[in-house]
Amino acid sequence: MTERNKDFSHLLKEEHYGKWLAISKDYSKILGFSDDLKQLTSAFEEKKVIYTRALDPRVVYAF
Amino acid sequence: MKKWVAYTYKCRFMRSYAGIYCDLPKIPIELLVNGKIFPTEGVIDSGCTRTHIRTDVADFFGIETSALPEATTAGITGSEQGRLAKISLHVLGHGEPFDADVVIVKDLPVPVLLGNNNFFDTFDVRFERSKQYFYIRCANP
Repeated sequence: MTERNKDFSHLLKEEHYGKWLAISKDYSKILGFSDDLKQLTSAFEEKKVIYTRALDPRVVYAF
Repeated sequence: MKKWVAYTYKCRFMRSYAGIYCDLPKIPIELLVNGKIFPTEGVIDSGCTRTHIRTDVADFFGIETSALPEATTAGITGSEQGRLAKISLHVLGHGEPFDADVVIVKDLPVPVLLGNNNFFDTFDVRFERSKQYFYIRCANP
């Protein structure tokens, strides 16, 4: 079965929770993290990263 | 009809969570505005009436939110005044980008919430959380 999303959750640590992350395109590395998205987008080229946010597993989310 | 494409829920054992924690159903997407691309992930949320993005993502594109129409978003913990905008949404591996009406809000824990209008207008979604899979396919042939 083809999977179209890759897992990087094993890379997540408490320091990442609730922050923006810059992940490598192959999801193998967390290149940077910050509260401030602008800081990340100025440090990494969009072609080389995926910007996402790390949810805190201790928090219950209901949007 | 297009074929279903499988995605996995990402689950892991967490001592602090006292068990298995599974992430929300996220898929790789790109947002596009005026030639700029924001590569990110969107959470599929059938309980959300419209697609939402965070204010800092709108800032990345240089969208002047104060000039946009207002929209109130009501969630479980209250409501927030957002702004309506049109952006281009590309679901990777599922054809070309399409125009999406979005609400821009500040307090969103994820970059993008893919809601009924208009993610669910464009894609069929099947959740099989018990098997740790979910599936999407283009609704239009």
